[in-house]
Amino acid sequence: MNEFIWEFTADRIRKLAMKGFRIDRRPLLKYRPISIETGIIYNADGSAIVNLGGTKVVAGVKFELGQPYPDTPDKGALLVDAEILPHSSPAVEPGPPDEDAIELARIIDRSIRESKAVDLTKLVIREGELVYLLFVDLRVLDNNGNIIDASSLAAAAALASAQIPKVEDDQIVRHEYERALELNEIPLYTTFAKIGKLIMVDPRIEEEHAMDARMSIATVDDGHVTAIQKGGNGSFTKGEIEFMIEEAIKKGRDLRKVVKEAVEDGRKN
Amino acid sequence: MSGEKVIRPDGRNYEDLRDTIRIEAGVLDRADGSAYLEWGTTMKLVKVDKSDGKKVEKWSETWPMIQTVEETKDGILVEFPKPLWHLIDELKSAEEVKEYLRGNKVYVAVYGPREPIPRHEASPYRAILRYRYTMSPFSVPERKSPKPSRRETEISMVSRLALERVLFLEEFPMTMIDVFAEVISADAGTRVAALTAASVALADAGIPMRDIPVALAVGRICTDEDATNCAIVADLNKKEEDMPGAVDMPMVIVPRKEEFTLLQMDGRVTKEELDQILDLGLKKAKELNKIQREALIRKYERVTENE
Repeated sequence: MNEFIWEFTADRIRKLAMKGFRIDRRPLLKYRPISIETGIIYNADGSAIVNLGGTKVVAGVKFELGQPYPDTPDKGALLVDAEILPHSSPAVEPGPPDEDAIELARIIDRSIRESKAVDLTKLVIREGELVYLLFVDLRVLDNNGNIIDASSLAAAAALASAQIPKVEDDQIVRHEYERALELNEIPLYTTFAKIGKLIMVDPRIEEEHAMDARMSIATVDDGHVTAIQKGGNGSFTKGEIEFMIEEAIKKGRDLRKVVKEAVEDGRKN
Repeated sequence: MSGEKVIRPDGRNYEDLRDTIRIEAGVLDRADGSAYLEWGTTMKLVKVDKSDGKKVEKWSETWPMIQTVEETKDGILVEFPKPLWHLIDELKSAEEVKEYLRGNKVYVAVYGPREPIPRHEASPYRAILRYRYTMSPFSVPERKSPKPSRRETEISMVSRLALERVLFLEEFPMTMIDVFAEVISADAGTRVAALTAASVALADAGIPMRDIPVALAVGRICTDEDATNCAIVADLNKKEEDMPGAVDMPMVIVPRKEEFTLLQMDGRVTKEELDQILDLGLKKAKELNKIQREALIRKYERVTENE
């Protein structure tokens, strides 16, 4: 689509929003179809591919060995990296990660870290000397909007299906596993777009072009919120924020079921 | 060549490509053309009890890709590559657990012809072709740094050169055509897997082409480091690439004219062996070309069904 068609579509979306409708006739608080497949990459210790209404993200989890950070000698390290591949849309140029990709990596990192989903103290081999480094790498293949929720689902599914490799003589033995990686929580983002006065969940790419502001809220099962990121240059009222938090907690519960099912299926197949 | 017979670790015949090669065209919505390719060995994980252990152990000495993955109290978990699945029937206690692909998985996206970036690189005579080959950090056994490597840069260049002549670039002056290949899973032969998928993605994007180029690797495996007892084989997997005296030759073939637009080799081979390698490449290219064409036809069948 060229600039003119984007503008034209955005205009239509804004006009529809004034009447309370979305361009794809979706209810305001309904996600597009989600499919998740886990265990798809032979060399990864955990992996998943997510398709959220045409937005496709691959996540891979890998363990390496290394030294702990000096201030946390009794903890393994968690490192999250994301790349929005030039595959994903004509607007992405090949090259080092831009601000969008870095924001994506950082907010996914925060949701996992702050929810204490992974107990890093269990990833220590010798305190102060040798620990597991847990890498979560995300690759956005196709961007049809809402890459934050798709990446969050992919990261969660990859982690939930991950196994910790065996270590012998301070070396990782590839393809031999010690135990499954235990997750205390499955943190998941729910992203809202605000167009005019209307708030909608899981915006598609055309809606992202039309939106004034974006709000991504990560939640865990007991109803706690573990990370928030506001995006776009528009604003939200306090009432709107409270509404979104309540909805995010509900949506998070539904999404976690989808992740758990995918992980179960991955074990069987 | 003398001595014992050279045996491929997954039980294939010398001239066989890997058992699973699947291509799907038009898998990405935003790209102008795209393809997803899976190219590898389908493994079956089987649970057997200790009584069959001896048998399995003997087999895995002959075919190293039959491997014990885990030993538990009530038995052992063994994986079998597809060409050797017939052996599972000979076991008394086999219970199938699951199947999975050990191989290459590549997503290719094509954009263009479109406005070139940077603009000053535009040519009034032809479209500029860009080719970017990258590997995901989790695609290989040791995590690969996401920074672009020298290896990726070189492969991107030779791949671009392999495709330029096949495309009618002169039809699109002042534009650029982008080919992006991301290897999300790797098991030897990723550059040829990416190129085979790239040809399909370019055709899917509707870029006029003289032919659909085919990429594959042909090489040699031996039983000894001095290469006195060897066999010429098609489509080496990772296990074979790591064998003593192994030689691997990635190539791109334009099938109709039987011409080579990419050729690389490292190793030490005789003139006669090279001759055999090139011949086998030409022969197998026809087979792969069929898979590519079928992928393209399937996409349009799918469109008709949806209507």
